[in-house]
Amino acid sequence: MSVAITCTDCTGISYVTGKGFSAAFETLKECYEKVVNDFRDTETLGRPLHQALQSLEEVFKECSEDNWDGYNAHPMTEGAYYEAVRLFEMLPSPTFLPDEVTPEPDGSISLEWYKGKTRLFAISLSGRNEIVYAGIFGPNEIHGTVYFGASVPKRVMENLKDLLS
Amino acid sequence: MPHKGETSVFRVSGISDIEIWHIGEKYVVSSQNKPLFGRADITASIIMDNGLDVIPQEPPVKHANIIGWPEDKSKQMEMAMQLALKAQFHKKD
Repeated sequence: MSVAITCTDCTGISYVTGKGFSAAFETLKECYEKVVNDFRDTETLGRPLHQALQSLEEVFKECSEDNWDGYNAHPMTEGAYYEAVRLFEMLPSPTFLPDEVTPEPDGSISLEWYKGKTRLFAISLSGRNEIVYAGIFGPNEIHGTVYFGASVPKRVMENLKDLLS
Repeated sequence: MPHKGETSVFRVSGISDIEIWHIGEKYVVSSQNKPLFGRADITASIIMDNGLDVIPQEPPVKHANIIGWPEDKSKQMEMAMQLALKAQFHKKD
């Protein structure tokens, strides 16, 4: 018997993001990815991610045509959708999955997290390898843009940890 | 969030709750063919206090646009959050 416990300060269980060229690197990468896949088959870690990816796909399908909002919105781009999938898979644990997935009229996708009435954080993905973010943390406001490469940008993770702590 | 620099709104000051929902059904639901879940009410003064403006854009009657959004999208997001925090949400029964 096991009990699911919320993980609030995980180092993360994500795929290998570094680059290597040796045979040893490939072997280690395969082993590590098997461990990650086994974790994702678990009820605690795998199910919330699977459900979040399903919701994301539904939003993508609903908003993949012109004028999905009745106000001449652009269709959600495949680039934005796959960037969101990539981000979901890179998040260290289900605790960090967003509360809301929202299509934007410019073809981007917005992910939002809430904690109470005055603490919220949102990012926008457009398929251009960048994350536009903004947040309100009580009296403090932040906004900016960061490069989205092989891992979740440090600034985004710090803000999420700050919000969810 | 704005689209092409504008956010579409309806001016509802001085009209009844029933009339407000009717606007939603007539001009929003019909164009999107989707159910109406709720609405967010906010006063024009709050919008203007945040450095934005509201200009009438009819038809349809009472339609307006929020304009004056900054070019930078992250700043737009921050302003939209501020407005959302100050808006009053009404869930559709």
